[in-house]
Amino acid sequence: MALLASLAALLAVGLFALIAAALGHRILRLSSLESVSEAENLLCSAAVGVICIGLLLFPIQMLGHIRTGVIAVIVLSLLLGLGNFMTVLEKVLRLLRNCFLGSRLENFLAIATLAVLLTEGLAAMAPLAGSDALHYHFTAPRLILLLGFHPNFFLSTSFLTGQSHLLILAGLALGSSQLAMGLLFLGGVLAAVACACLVRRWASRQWALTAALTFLLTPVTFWQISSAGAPDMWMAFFVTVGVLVISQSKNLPHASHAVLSGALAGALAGAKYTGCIIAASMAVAYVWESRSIRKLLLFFLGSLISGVWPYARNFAWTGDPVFPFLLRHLSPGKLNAFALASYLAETGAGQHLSFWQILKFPLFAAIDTQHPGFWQFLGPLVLCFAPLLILAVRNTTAWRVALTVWILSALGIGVSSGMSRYVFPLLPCALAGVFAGVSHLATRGWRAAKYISAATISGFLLFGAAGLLFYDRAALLVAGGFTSQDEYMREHVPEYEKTEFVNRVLSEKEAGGKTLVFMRHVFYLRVPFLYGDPSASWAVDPSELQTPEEWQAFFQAHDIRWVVRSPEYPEAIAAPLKQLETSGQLSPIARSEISDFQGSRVYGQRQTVAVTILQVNH
Amino acid sequence: MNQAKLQRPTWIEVAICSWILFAQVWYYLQFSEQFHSVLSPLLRKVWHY
Repeated sequence: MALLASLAALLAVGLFALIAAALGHRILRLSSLESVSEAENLLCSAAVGVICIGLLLFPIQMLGHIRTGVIAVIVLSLLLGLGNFMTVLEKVLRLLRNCFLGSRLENFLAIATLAVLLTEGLAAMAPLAGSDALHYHFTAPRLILLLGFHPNFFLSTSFLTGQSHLLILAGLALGSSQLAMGLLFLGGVLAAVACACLVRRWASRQWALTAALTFLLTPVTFWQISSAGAPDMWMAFFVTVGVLVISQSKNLPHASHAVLSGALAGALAGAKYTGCIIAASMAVAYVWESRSIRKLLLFFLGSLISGVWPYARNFAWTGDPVFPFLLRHLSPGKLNAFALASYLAETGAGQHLSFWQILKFPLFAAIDTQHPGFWQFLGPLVLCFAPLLILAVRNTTAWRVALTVWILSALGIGVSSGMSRYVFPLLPCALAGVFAGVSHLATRGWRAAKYISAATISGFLLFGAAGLLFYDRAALLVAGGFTSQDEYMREHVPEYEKTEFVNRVLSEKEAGGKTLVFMRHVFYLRVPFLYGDPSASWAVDPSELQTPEEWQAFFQAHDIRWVVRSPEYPEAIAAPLKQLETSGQLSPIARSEISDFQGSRVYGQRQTVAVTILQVNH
Repeated sequence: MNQAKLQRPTWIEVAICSWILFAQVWYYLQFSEQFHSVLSPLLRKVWHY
């Protein structure tokens, strides 16, 4: 039954992809923007369709009936693209058939790619377990569904959500976090196909399939595509399609091409703040290729239409479009210095790297040894094969655009954030480039280099396949119905037992009042809650909450009736809360010892922690 | 003799091969601690089994 539900959710995602592609196909036809390549045309159609659906969903989240609105948007998209639906379906089936018409090696690579996609798709159908997803990627849309479209200064990471989070909102509105995860998985599928299309500009189909498979078996990719619950896969898709589209500047010299290129850049910028850096690199590549101010203005118009909305929302709510990073300059009076310092540390925006460290970013080799983890394992292949670019690079539009976007964006991310994981959306582009280089080894007759490269790639693919099965084994078992969802969540969802305990105790209490929690993973909480860890909660400013009296006023102002200590309060606010406990103004009503992860869940080490629920007595 | 001379790698090919090998060894070594954390419990289980 669970397996059927997982496959049904994946089928629904496939249907969504067809609806989006049919809508985009119609728009591209009306704009005379049909690409010569059928695969590129389909990818571009899907990108345009998803951007349009996102644009329609943005105002829908402000309405009271989000679920009805989401259904209306999907039906409207279906009706608008109806005439193109069969054309798109035929093109997709033809492309799939063509995948198996090559050599034996190509057929093997195509089957392996499909098998990896199926594995990752099934793993994505497991209950949500990604740390950031449980903290805000899924929680912020869920709170919009429950409470409406309001600023939430307690869960202030909700201001970091962008246009791609509307897909999560749509999935949740339709009642399924599986569907929401599936829509993120779709971004990964399209990114892999876009990677293959980019390689086809420079190398044979064999290398295109190898690059797509390598992308899918890179640890950060299979983490992102199957369990992270973050929209980064869509960024990888938009940037690669953006490169494909901008590199057609000479073939499609229409004004609508400028708007389309801009819309893809805007979709990137609208997904995440670091997307702005990649969008800016795309603008540089576009202006270099088009050499026209008029087209550049149209490019910006397209960017604004598709990507300005999350920034406009943040500006309207806080006065800072990139909240909280410019607040100290725009509205210093509203600053929470403690939370800002934490944000700067967590996003790497406060770091200053040396020139040599920044140079490692385009090579995907900038590993932060202070915060080690597989979350930054982007693979050694770009670093290994980067010198081979010399063999492949030509002075063509595709190469100029790809290199500009890849290198400028990576350097920009290195300078601004210093976090190697943020270069992930550039991975398909970089892999496409270096695999084009490897493909030239055979023509040079360099047999030793050819064999060492083949062994390196094969070794990485085997390592990736083993890593994928190891990492996703539990998710696959639950998606296939071999273990129960409850068992999976207890063993693999961080802080699940804490949320379960809080839900059980407080659901029996009378209605009314909110619960202040300090646990990071709040998606599964089913009681009205406010997130209170000052390192990520703008509303909880330690400098303004230094005495028990200030806390009592805070509890009253926000209708807080319960506080959950698990196991201790955050250090910056612990003293006054302990005083409240001593004076009896915070009295324990329930306590439990629960099992939880110690450190990152990938290592599977657990510990027992105490959770105490306290009642606020005024 | 000529055949053997033709097949002998050039200095640039040797440099490329050395770089590919060096780069991947360096890269994997950066994550040695993580590999140890993940693999040692797994190997212990296999050993006990």
